[in-house]
Amino acid sequence: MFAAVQSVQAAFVDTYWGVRALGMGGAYTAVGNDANAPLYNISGIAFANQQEVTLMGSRLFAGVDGVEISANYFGYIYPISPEWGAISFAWSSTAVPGLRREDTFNVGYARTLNDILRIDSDFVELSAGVNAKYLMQETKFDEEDKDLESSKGAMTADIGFMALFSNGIGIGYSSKYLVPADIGYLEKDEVKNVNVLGLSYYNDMLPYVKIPYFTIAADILFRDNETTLKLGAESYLLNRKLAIRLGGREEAFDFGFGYSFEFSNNTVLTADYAFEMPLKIKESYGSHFISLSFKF
Amino acid sequence: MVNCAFADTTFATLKAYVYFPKVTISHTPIKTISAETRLLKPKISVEFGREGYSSATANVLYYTDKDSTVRTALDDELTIYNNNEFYIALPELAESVSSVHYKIRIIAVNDSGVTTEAYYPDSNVSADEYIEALVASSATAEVNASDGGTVEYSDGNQEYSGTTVTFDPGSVSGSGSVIIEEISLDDLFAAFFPVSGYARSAALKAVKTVATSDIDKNKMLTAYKVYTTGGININTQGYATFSYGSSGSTATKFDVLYSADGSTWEYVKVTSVDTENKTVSCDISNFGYYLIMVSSNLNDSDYRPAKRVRIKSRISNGTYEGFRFGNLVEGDTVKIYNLNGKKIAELTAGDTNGFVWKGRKDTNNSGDWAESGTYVYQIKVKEKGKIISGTIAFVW
Repeated sequence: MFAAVQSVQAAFVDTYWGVRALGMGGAYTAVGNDANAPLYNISGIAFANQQEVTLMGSRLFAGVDGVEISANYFGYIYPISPEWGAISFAWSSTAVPGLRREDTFNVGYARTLNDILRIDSDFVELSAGVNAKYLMQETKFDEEDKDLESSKGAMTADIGFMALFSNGIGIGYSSKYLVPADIGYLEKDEVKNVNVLGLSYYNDMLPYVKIPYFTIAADILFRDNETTLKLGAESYLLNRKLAIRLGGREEAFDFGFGYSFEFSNNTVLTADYAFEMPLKIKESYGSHFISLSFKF
Repeated sequence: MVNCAFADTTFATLKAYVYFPKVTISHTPIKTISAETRLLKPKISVEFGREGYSSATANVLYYTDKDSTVRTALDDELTIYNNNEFYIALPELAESVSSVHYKIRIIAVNDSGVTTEAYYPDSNVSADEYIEALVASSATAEVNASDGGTVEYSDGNQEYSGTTVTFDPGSVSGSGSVIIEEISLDDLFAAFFPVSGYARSAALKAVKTVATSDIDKNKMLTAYKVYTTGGININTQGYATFSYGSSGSTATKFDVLYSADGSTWEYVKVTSVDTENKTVSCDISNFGYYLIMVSSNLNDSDYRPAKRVRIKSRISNGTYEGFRFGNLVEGDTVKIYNLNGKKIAELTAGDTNGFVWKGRKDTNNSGDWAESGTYVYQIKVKEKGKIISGTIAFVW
């Protein structure tokens, strides 16, 4: 299923950003239009019509004795207006206590393009966005390297585009770490550029199999000479209150669900959970991600 | 340590001076070569004496009692630099060889391209005056009650320390010879461990006396017999430093077992371990056999890397080696994963440097440099049938 490919990734390329996205295996470049979206494809937030905030906590590779890794994510989007677009703030952090952490601080802006490009047809909706990012790594060095500064940081940027077609097909493209960000302690260590092409298909009721509010998505990541394929799917049940998600990549498969509580003043509180089972790392009960999101 | 200096000459011309390098060679002569390893590997250090001189080359000239032809240890001269400390190993000696004569040769080049040769012990010695090293498996020294004494057994490989047994004044009564004899494991097995297949000894630490059938043969590294031919009795204790360098073991935790006659063995408390010089120290209260083994009482932390953060450039320039996983043997594996769960490197038995991840991808550090990041390691210890995991950071 997850044929392909090589993915030898390290600094600032783990993509534990948002539980909905993780439940879909991280295939989110042509899907995301919520507070999970900024780090996958910033252009997606242009399609948001409410403010949203999401907060994620996690435990990676639970059950593996001697391994304590957490990944946290915070996202906020604020749609100003169709003319002015939307802005976002996001923070993600992957940390091993007492060893090393990576933090990404992100400010994003996105806008729909149809009016600018004078596209009157409903056949397609286009958007574009840009992220400004500050990347920081902090390492607790051993005694012989204690003269080094523990933190190194650098600025970089992403761009993203998305096209949503009226027949349910979505195409997304995101180019990340476009500005060379040198995070090396003793020598140049630039975070590598990542290009992601995303495809998605949405249908209110998938023909033949009758799956409601169904989305299927694929992301193909290109980084250096490496290619990674991510696949994901999502369906909403119970009058769109309950979400069920599946996904995976070569190293892991994912499963997730979420439940939304709607309130009278058009606000929605959603609790999401995602489970990722690593296929190569032994003795793990899987990685667990939970989040609370609030639309208002 | 003896220093020899040669060829310090200055020629004056009307307008220029040509300096020949003063080459000082430091070396401690090797007197014995282990009959087990049959390896002569002298440690040599060289100073050129003045700045401005470029490189030099080194080699060892030698001949044996079975072949009087003077040969060189290296086909290609070893390039060295000022204040270098290095080792040159002779080819493994044939079984029939019982002695080796050797001489160290340095060829230095000055800034003008003029070469000069220096030797240790001397440039003028004839072949029969080369340093003589005897193939032997034992060393002897006189020990008495008033002065004590020290026996030193060198196995010929100066990359690691030799074996010594020391008795302080008053620690023994009587006088006579004390002998350290290296016992080959084959001889030890034949004499005391004739049955194939040995039980694990991991659970036996609580029992001081151990039957031979309960000692794990696979963990044995080296053995020595310490005995006296005179009327010496140990009143208090002596101090022993046993070399395990010939085993090539990269272990970090060891057991020393003692036996008077080989029938039963008991654990001796290890007082220190020097993994750089590959020695294990303990007190000795009796003459008899001493067996050095990889410890059978290892816990998870004995396998984990002591250093959890390594920097690429400091590995590449030799400041340190990388992430060393201790006490692993053939059949064990270490796998390194990134935080996406992708395996990026693997270490297996057969790596000559032991289980050290040097920050490179693929198997046994054969690939390109890994990227900066946090990594998960999983050590599979075959003997214990378990996986030991942890996290490390490799940064640039």
